[in-house]
Amino acid sequence: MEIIKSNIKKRIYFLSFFLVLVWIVIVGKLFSIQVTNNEHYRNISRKQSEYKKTLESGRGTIFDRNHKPLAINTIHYSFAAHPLQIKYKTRLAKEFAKTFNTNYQQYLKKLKSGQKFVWLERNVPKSIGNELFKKYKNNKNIIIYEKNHREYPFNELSGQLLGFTNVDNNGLSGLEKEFNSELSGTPGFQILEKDGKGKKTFRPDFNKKPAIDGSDIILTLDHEYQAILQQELYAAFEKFDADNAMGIIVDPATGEIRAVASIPLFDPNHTLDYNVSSRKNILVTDIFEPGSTFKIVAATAALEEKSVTPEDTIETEKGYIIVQTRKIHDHEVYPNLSFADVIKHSSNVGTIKVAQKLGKSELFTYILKFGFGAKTNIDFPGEVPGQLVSLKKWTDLRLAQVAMGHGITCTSLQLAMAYSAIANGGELLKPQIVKSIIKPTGKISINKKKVIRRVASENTMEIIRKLLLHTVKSGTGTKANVRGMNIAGKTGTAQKVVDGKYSKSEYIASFAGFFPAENPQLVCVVVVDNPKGPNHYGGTVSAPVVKNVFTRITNLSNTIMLTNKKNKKNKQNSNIVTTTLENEIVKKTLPRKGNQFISKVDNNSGMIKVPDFRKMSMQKALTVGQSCGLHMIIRGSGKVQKQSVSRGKIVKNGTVCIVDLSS
Amino acid sequence: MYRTKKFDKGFLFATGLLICIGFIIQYSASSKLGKDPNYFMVRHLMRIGIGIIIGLFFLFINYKFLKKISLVVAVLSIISLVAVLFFKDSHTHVCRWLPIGPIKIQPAEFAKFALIIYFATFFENHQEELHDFKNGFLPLTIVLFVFLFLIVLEPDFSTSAVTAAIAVMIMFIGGTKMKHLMIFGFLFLLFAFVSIIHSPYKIKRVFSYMNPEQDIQGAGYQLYQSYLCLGNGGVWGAGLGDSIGKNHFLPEANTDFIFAIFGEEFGFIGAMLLLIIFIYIFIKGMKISFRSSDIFGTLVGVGLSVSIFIYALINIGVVCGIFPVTGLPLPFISYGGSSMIYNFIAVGIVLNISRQHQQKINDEKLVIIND
Repeated sequence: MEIIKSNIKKRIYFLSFFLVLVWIVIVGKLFSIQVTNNEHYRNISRKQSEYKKTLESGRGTIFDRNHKPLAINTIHYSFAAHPLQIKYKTRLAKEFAKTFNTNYQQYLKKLKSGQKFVWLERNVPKSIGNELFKKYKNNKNIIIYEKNHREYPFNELSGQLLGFTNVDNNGLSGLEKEFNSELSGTPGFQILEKDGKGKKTFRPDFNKKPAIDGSDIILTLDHEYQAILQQELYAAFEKFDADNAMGIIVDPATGEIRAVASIPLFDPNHTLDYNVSSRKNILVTDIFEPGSTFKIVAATAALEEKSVTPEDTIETEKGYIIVQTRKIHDHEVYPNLSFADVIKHSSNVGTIKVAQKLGKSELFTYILKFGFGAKTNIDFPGEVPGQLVSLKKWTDLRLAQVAMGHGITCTSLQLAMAYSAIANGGELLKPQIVKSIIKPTGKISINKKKVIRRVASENTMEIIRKLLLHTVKSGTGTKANVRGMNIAGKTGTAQKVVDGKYSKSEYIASFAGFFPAENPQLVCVVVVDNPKGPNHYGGTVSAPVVKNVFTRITNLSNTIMLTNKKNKKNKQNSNIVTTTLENEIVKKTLPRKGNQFISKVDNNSGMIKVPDFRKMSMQKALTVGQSCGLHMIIRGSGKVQKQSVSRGKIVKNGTVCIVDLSS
Repeated sequence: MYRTKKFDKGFLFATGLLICIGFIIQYSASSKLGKDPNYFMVRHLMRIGIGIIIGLFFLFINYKFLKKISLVVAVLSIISLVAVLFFKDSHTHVCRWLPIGPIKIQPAEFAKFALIIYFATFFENHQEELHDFKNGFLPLTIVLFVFLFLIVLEPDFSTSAVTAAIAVMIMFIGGTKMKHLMIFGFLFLLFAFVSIIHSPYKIKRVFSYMNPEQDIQGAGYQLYQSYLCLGNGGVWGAGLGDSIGKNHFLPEANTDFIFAIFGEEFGFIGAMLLLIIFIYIFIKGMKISFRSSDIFGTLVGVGLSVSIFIYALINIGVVCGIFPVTGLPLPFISYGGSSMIYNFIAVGIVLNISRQHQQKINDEKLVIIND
């Protein structure tokens, strides 16, 4: 027995030793996994169990200056399904067919295709898909994706200016592109816990970074002006069967753009339905030879340099001038004209003679002073500077051509800014399209008026304004004339360059004008490319457009601003000023000057009899009051209810009369 | 007369600790698997309860009684192993579970038990013929092969291999001639050779565990996930309930691979504690067995202690990539009724043996006092 016991003891020890050895090997392996290499495995383990969900940042809204939203975000749904798990296929297909007004067979076909995953409908607006969303949002087999979608509620209104975004909400053109970083904000993320089956669960203790929404942008644009400009341009475009047409309205006091339109129109909601060329904002991207509208450059230079006075007589009786063997004609043969009449009748011969007297280098200097040949640096992508041949290469012929707006190209915007300089008394301003940018935090940056340089003295500009007023009253621009409204402007009819030669049949008809002539509030440039028919002149094609635009804007119940000139002067030199304000305060400080508009009259002296303004519209009261010689101050909108100076009273010219309107 | 309080307290305490740890980690590991978080926990607890009752039964009977029924148990076990072959599982296409009333048992688990007591009885009754090939070695070998053959038919290769190992160890301790045991070694080599010739790809697959990162999405997936769990646990562990692997990444998270979840939540420190408990139970069990006054007690104790320890070693060895992937549960911790009952029976009997030994010491003391 003892022998057996000792034998057993030996064998037990041997067996135990062997198993303990295995135990030690296991400990060693565990040590290597859990202590030596744990970082490696831990990282992989964490990675497979975490899912980084991107939190989309809301894209900022683009407003016009009256807080009308022009570009907004809406939710769009996309519906998909796991057909293999769905038993109620026909019912589902019919439900979708009912919602989307289509045949249910197409959905049924998808559901019966045997695929694991099918898209049923994609990019459905919230208004249409909301019912389905509510019904199926908790259904495992129907997957609904929500996505921010950019929408432009006014469709074609200023489509090219706004531009559009791609499916990922990145701006591809227009303001959407220029201000993409401001609009798009910063997306955040949320780490979700993921299990081996791919199911994701929210864990409050997991890392997250909230998305920061983009900034809102308030434009200087006025959507009502924009609508008027677009309609009038479109009518001309149709009437004259033009290739394209463009127009711009600028506030000359600030350089703020109130409307900018190009035809053919473009609806950024449906980018694919439109030609690529119609997406461009041709007012800054396309150049043309301005023609006679450019004559103001030579005129300003000559007056400013005292090379001529408006009364000086220019010899134009031959009807042509020969420059370097080239014979340049006037449209008709005039007797010898005063300088004022040269502009009024847009005489080529007269303008060339003035320019020749002025000299190449002087004219060139004023071209640069007016901002031609250089970008305006507007906040908009794709701007071009136009073409300007360097002074060294100027021949006598070049001088003659440039004086009348040929052999030089510019954009419509440059032309508008040049006319703004005339309108505001000589300051070339940087064009502004963005009034302010409001961050989600309430921090607001406001773009203020920016003067680039003084082009000429106030006196010179006043003379030019008078010359341009006469151009409309009794010169080439009579089609822009409205009785009771002092519209000033200059026509232009340029021959198009086709295959390197001036075409005899294709023209660019333009008109650049401002209103009211004595104290301009709005500058409007209209350019119609290749109008068909015998009346292809700027005076017949474009001038009526400007006239209609000004008339209709003035008739708007309360939106034409006739601000006192002194007030304008207070808004002097400016940079971008950044201030932090509460949102409420911001809204109050935004450029809505209420309904108080002031008008000023300058002519006539003597006494006047105050008319009865009661029941008059604002426009009528303004026109009547102005024609009498009253300073009209208008409050409110609608019909006149009260007037500060009673009717029939004899007062001095220039007396202030406050009228209260209400509807 | 046996007195209840005299069994080995260290062994009992270690086992109790193991059951507690097992319950906690079972609750955590299974919380994401069932219909509700408590699904598996409640069932695990029920099995522990039944196990305690059955374990107490085997604690308080005279273990020598088992000698008398060893043949009956062996025959019943063989019958159940044959019967189970008629119940094929429709999902897994294997015949491992025998339905008896509302419950399902794994006959292979109880075959281990039957084999151990049958072998121990045989050795005690045939002390003189142990070295005889025909009367000592061959009968045991034939019985063993009948069991193994039936288990392989299920098919359950890993259980049959471990059962064979336990049987061989009992024979080794019981005093079978080394020369005879060599025959097993020879048969094993022959089997291995034939397998390699016949289907080398299977062998290749079996050994793919050596490098699980080569096939993360396929054969190596489970083991790789197991590594990720253990690694994520690191030295100190992710904390109770914070396992990542249990969220449907690691298959069999509450059964065969529960040790990986344990290692993830309690780290290397926790894993070491568990390993130390297992080796403590093993060494205690071996000591208890050795001190037993009879050969039967010694061999039954060794067989049962070794069976628990070897299951633990193989299970943990699989989880950390030392052994190829098998389906062996971790004693007292993995979810599974048959194995739980078997482990409680084993612990009950080992404690029973320890009591008998304590009794002997008391008898000696008594003699001294009587003098």
